Amino acid sequence: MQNYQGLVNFLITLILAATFIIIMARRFNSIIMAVIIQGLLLAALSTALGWATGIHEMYIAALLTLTVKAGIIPIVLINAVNKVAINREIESFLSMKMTLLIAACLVFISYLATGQVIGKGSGLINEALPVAISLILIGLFLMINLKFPIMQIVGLVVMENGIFLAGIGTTIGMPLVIELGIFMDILVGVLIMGVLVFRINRSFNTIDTKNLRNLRG
Amino acid sequence: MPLILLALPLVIASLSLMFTNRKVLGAISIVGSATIVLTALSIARQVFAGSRVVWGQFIFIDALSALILSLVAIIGFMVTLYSLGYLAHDLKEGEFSEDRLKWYYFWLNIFVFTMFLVLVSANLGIMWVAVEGTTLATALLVGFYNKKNSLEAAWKYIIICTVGIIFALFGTILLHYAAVSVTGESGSLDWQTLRRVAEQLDPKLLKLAFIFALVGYGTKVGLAPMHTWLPDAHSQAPSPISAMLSGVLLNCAFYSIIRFHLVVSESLGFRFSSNLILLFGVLSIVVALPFILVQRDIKRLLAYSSIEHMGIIAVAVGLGSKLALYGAFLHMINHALTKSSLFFIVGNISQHYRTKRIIRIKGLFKTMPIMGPALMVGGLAVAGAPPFNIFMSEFIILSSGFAQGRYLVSSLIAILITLIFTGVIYALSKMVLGIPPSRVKLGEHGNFAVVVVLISLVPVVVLGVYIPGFIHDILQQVTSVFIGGSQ
Repeated sequence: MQNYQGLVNFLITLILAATFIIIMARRFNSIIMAVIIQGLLLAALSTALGWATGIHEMYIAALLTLTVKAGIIPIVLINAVNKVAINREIESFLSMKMTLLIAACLVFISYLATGQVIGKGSGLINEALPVAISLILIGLFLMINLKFPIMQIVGLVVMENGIFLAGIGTTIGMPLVIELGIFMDILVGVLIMGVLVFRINRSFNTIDTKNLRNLRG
Repeated sequence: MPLILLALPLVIASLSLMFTNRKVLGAISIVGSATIVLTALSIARQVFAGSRVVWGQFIFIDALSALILSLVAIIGFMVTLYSLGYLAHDLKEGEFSEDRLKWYYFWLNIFVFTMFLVLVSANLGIMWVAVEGTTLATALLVGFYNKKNSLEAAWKYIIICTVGIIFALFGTILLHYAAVSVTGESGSLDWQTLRRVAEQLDPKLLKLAFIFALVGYGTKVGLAPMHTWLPDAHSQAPSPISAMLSGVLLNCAFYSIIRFHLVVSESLGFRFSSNLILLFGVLSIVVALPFILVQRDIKRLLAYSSIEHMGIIAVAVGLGSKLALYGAFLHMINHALTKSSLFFIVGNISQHYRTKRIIRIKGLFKTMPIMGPALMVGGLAVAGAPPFNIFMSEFIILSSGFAQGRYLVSSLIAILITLIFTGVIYALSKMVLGIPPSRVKLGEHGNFAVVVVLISLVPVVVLGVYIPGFIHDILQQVTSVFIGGSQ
């Protein structure tokens, strides 16, 4: 395990970097590219962990990540983008500087919090949990900050990547049955959200979330 | 037996996809859900007779799961009955085309399947998968009318609930992390094992896990301040679906919190988790109050009332004495029956008046001689007036609160539910009294719906004056799940 620590931590750092690409990108194509890269990195990470620990279930998790997160989900996203918002700039509520500042703060908070609550260096890999929590928080922040429903799906995917990282990073994954169930939920969830985005676009003729504000009180 | 229960809704769902005719689909769903009720009740009977139903590693049904299981099956059956008339009318009005009807029945049965899976699974991980499944199964049902408002509600629903539930998954992973070194890979999320070994687990991690689970599943329960999806989804969904969401889905989500609560309280003592649940319960009632007082949409009013009642159940579980728990689960039964019945009534009325706005519905006593009084009975019941069922359970909960010496909480709740009572009655009296608008035809809107509503109101009236022996016995068994510890 020790020999792999360096490689694994490097992969985790790259995963965090991919998240920052998603934050900074202003075109759908680059965002979807970053989502694919993050999926690939997660698959690589679980393969590396499988190698290091000799647990074969990790390879299955890697394969699932590859097909779902680097395959099907990006395809659904690309489809949705092509149908509803070709070549549009992504608008956000906050400016780029502010967004980056907040994202950096979130990462800082995650490192601080995990150190305080769970103790430094706990879990199998010491980088995994803080980065996982960063991903969850940044995913949430993405969902609030960006104005397109498609970007809310991306935010969810980032959050879920964080959860997956927390799972494999702390305990070498959940039991396989549950892991399969989680993948299925994510997959079906993204598909249904894709359908909804399409229908929203059809009946609103636009896909800005500021139109989704009729129901109040 | 439990496998048959899980398979049945899946079979009905796939059968539904093969037909488009309204009558054939209706027949399939009626026969199907009748079979489901029989299966579920026979399982529940077996459980209440004293033998728990276990199948392999993944299925475990005790008294608590059996109670909610029966509620899901019974209300599911009532909902399929009511759907027949409701959907027939919507089709006639051209709200949606007939070829989409099969999708309604498909998702409805998948929804029932996922709720059963929540209740029978012995594993907190599978339970999470199933709870997220309920969101996915209902998202397209909420947006079934494909109108702007219903799509907005569906989008909010799926996004808010999925985000919430992701926190619950994080809580589950933390619990797994805390437990895996003690129990090994296979038992780490099995809640019976967890209750047994709870004392050996890291309390710091358990606390964190519980908070995440409470926030996550609490979103699904509609506890404030995570409740924002609930009024939208309940008001925009077709009324039978609202009945299902409000009547049983919220209870299933609450069930997940209780499972975590039971594990965590074995280790951290009773106070930590129950106080948190209590806090969110009180907050929900407080938040529901102003929205009920000024509400203009009758279905949203019922939705906020669901938030209030989930808050009351949470307060009772938080109080945690034997009597309070007895009241909590009696309240769960009462709320499920009353609220689903009210959604049937309001669905029927809003189809007849073609509006959900309280101000435009007038003179119900004159136009609809059965539905008008039925609305008043259901409304009085849900507001907590004697001699109806909800008064009974609220009374039990409050008196147990005072008996425990929690005067502050109990009197606060008493004041809040009195204020909510006035709000509900004020809104309803505006609807039943007055002169009906001339555009509205006199007479009932569909005889079949009247029959269904009257059947659904029977327990509302009966349980208010008399709790049958078997229900008393069931509630005793459910409360003993809390006290029985890890055996």
